[in-house]
Amino acid sequence: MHTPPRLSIRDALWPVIVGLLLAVSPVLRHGDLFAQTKPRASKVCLDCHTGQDSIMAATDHRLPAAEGPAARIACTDCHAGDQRHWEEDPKQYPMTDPAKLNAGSEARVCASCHQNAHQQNALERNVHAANDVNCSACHSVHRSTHPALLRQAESGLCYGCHGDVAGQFAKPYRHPVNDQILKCSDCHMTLDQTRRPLSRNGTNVCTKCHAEFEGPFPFEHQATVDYSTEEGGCISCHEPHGSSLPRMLNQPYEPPNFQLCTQCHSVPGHNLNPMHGTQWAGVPCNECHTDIHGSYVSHLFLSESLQSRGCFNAGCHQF
Amino acid sequence: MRTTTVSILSVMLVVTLAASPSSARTLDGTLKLGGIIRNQTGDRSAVQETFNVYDGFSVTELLLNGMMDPRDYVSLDLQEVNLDSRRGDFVFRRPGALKLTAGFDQHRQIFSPDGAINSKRKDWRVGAEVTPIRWVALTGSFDSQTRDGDRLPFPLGTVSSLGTQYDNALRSGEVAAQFDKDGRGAAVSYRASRYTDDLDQSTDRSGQVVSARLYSPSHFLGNWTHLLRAAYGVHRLSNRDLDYTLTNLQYTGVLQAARALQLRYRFEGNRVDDQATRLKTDRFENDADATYYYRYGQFSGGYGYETNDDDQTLTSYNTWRAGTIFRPGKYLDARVDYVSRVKKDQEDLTLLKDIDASQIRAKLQVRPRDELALGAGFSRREREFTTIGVDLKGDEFNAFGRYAYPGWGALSSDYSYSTDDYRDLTAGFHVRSHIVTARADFERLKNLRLGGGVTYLDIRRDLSIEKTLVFVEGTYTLQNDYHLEVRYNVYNYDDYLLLDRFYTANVLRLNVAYDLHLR
Repeated sequence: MHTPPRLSIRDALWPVIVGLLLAVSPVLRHGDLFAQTKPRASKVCLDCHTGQDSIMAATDHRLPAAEGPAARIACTDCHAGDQRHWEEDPKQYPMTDPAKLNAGSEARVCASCHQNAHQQNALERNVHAANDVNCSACHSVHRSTHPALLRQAESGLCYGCHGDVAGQFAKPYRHPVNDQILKCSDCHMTLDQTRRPLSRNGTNVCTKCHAEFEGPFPFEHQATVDYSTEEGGCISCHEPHGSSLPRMLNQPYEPPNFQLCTQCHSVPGHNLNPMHGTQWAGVPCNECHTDIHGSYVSHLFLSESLQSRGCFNAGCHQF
Repeated sequence: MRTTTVSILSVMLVVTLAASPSSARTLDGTLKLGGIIRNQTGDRSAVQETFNVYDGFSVTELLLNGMMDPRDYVSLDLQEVNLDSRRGDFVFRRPGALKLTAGFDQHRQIFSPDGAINSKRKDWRVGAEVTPIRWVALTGSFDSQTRDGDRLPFPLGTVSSLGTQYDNALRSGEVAAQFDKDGRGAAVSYRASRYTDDLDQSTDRSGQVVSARLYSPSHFLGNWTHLLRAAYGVHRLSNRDLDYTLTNLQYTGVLQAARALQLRYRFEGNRVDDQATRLKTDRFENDADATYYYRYGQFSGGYGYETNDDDQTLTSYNTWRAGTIFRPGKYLDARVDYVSRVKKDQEDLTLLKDIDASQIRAKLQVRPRDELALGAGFSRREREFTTIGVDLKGDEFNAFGRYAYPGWGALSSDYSYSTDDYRDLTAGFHVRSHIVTARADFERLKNLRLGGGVTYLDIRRDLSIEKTLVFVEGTYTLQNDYHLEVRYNVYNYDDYLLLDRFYTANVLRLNVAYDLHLR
């Protein structure tokens, strides 16, 4: 059989690292991206926009008592324009409203202070940025008592756009999102975590709560490990939003076919074989293969208790 | 425990307030006390919505928001404090300098028809963020999760060799430092975790992960931006000399080639060295995307190539993406996107062999008036395991309408119809689902707010399940700062085929709310 050439990590990384250093070096020599040329004002704004300071008082954007170059924040940090707005004609010289900008333009305003992982992830395949959902679609930066200045509490905020997902959480078996025990961001915003790379199909998101399945197991089930070449990961068998089937399974686990397992495993020998006839036909797979998420004792995920049945006698099954 | 939880969080609030100058404190909030009257019949494990509905007295909510000079903010939010469940969050914030958080959550799961087989889940979390200077942030957090209770055999009626109970805990902590200056920055973090099982110590394990990221300049701040991430982690079984290590490197670059054209490239290299399987699994992923923006929307497309090599088998994936958004104004938003992913088993050694998968989605939203929004969507998912003879197909149609009339109230409704078809060499599984949700709010009457809603779920063909949730609620303002809240829920569930069970509950919630204002 022809064996395709294999790449080692070292082979693949060198070009990337060298390319990255070459790419970054000119950028590092750029000038100050935040050179402050516009006026910084807040108090004059409150002459007309009365009460805004009170509204913002409970937020991280609370206006400081003093203003000027050293002030922590000022209205003009976000609302671009110049003094003609308040000195001459506010209508002829309007200030910008970042909430009305597209996703990239508003993010640029917010990034002048907020450069955390949440924003960095917009670089990647962030579906919100890609669909031109701007920061203000989720965050109310002037007035919010919700964490992270969200417009409203999760999950209602998310359902506003993802109404189809709200329906999935009405199904009989689901994660307790509508019960306020979990939030959408508990699973979906893990992109923000610096440690996020150590997962492919989201399995490390699941093991945040379901720690008993994190492994390592001496005997791994390929369907449960997200680095598997077999399309592994929790969602191989489970529907995380909601399912009509117990245990949030994505296929029925009912006799005679137990499709949850047979979607990958064709096991005709279990239904009819020379030694046992049809003895095992229709028997739930996990009656023998108990530790299906990973076993500490058996490569077939069998239970030690089966030894009493004589399954592992010499010449029979290998434990 | 309930007293302990509430006390600890409350003491945090009081101490924080007491530490501030008395001349400049304000405290606003809400206290809701009440009770629940519940009448139920049938299988209590059927409807998750009632798992934590406690029949009796409850501190429904205690929300306190305090502000202190010069700019400190403190908040305590306790909800549903009763004998079965409770939640609480505490936040202290000095903008730009310090943020302290703490939280607790306890709830339960019910597994058996009579509720006797159940489990408790408790989560504790504390965190701190210090900003000593504007461009440095230091964070630390600690989480504790405990899960204990009864284990239900699955399928029902069998005897599980896993035992009848479980009692495990996961404790994890993380420290991180982040540096951001002039649009460029870096971050490093270290996370450690420990999992213990009181009933089976052979499963005890620990994990450690160090990770870093570097960017220059920050996204959106330059025409050419770079993000580099790296991480290394070890997970080890405590009582055996067995572990697996994970190594990862990612690079993403975005080039704003022209005002209307953005190019994006992403690389990811990943190795998992698993001593259990004695395999080193290497994964390399390269993705390139282009987005063209124009006045009324955007076009985007991309391609990705991925290889996954575990020393024994080699698989590769080709991914194609395309999409468009048309948005001539706020009254119309239409979008379509398509993605296909094809797995090729290079050596025909994996169990599943080759796989073809694709998804197409279309969405239309119109907003003829500010107060009215109507929309519809369609999606189709297909997945075919070409060699082993399995294919899956799912379609979903959905539609929604929202109408808000200032001073009167709001109406909203969502409907979705979905089909799911599964087929393998021996059998198939087919499901058709209708899901309807609707809600109405009425606020025209003085001192009175009324609301009501329904969720209806109907699942047919190889299943036969009906589920209905109905609620009506009202809030009446008795006098300044005092409110009476009433909410009545009906839960109904019928499974005629799979588990042949039903559940019906009537729940009445009564609360008296008082708005606090302390100066």
